[in-house]
Amino acid sequence: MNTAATSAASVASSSATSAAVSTSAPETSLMPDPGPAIGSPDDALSLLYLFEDRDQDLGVEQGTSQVASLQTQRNQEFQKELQAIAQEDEAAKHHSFWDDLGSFFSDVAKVAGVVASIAAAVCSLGAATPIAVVAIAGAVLSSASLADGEFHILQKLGVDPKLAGGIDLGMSFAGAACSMGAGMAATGQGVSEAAGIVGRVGSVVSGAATVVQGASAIEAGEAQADAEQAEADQVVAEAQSDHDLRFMQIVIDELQSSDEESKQMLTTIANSKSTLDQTATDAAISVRG
Amino acid sequence: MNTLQASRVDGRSPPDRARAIEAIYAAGHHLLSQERPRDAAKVFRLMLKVAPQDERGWLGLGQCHEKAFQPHVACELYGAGSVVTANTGVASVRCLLARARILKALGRDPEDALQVADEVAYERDDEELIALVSNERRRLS
Repeated sequence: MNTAATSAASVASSSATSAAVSTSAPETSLMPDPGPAIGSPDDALSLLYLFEDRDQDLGVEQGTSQVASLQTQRNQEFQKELQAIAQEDEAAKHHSFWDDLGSFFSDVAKVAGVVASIAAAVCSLGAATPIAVVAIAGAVLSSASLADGEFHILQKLGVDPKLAGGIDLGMSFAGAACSMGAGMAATGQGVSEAAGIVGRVGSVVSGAATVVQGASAIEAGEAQADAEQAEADQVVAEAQSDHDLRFMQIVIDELQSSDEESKQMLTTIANSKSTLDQTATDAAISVRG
Repeated sequence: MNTLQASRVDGRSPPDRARAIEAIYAAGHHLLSQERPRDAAKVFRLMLKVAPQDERGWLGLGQCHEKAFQPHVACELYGAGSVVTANTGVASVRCLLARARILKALGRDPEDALQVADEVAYERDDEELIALVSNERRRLS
């Protein structure tokens, strides 16, 4: 991990939110400087050509369209899910959060053709695949919110627009993933130091998230201890399940498209570098005559 | 796409791949310093896919959204970065601090994030990170 000096003050100086913090000490950038080997102007410029090329469609518009299409599809699925929930008997109201996850993953598998084991692995954050899924989820959240605005993407993730600006519901993957990671550690499936760190970090990241707190309470078994509480938790779990379902569907959709997109981008980087090298060679030959 | 798949995509040897990641980060960092957060975001999104456990990608992308006045999104990205890197046993102190900053800016209590960052920095016995956390705690208190 790069621990270079954090002297890129210019990067942080215009941070949109930092101005809201009343402090006496200056804010330093948390972003490490690029490594010296690649920081030369030649290399940086060769890569920047890539992003000046207007033919490079990185999929933002396409991604937005996919999200919109997906939202319609998920709304339909959501209505069906609501009907199914309404038809459940009294006992169903006391399902645990993890029971709900079971049906959630099953639904995902049916809709997207993705095996439930992959989706389940997201909860554990225990292997390369779920980490990649979280990464792609981050990329999706980023591209969709930049294309469509922060509050719009919050709505698409199932957050009430009236609440979106005022509270942090732990509305996306971070809150959900952290809660799940912490839960796995707490149940003894990860007693290692690494798992402990995951648990503690997870509790922090999800600490202020009302929905996730509800889900964590269910994990802790409080639902079984108190019938009334279990019913309240069920409401929270349903909301969380729906929220996760919507977001997971977006992630799965992006998984299918991002591979080709990344291939294209990496190829272009390689081509840009080759072009730069060739240009330098031509220039040298020209100078020598 | 996971890291292994990404390395297969460009068919590069590990040293070349590491160098490519550095190049991607350098490009994103440069674009961000040039006040081009939307362009930089494209670069950092690629970095997340190629090197999801590299904290710099999450930090960079979060910065892009801060500059785009999207603190909630930035907050989630820093949170996710903390978790993904923590899964390796090396939690990202910088992501935790970045999240603490956002929480403070949003009028929420950053203490929990600072506390974990402090613990992780001491566990790693990294003087630079310890100082970074200490300075941030003073700044945000």
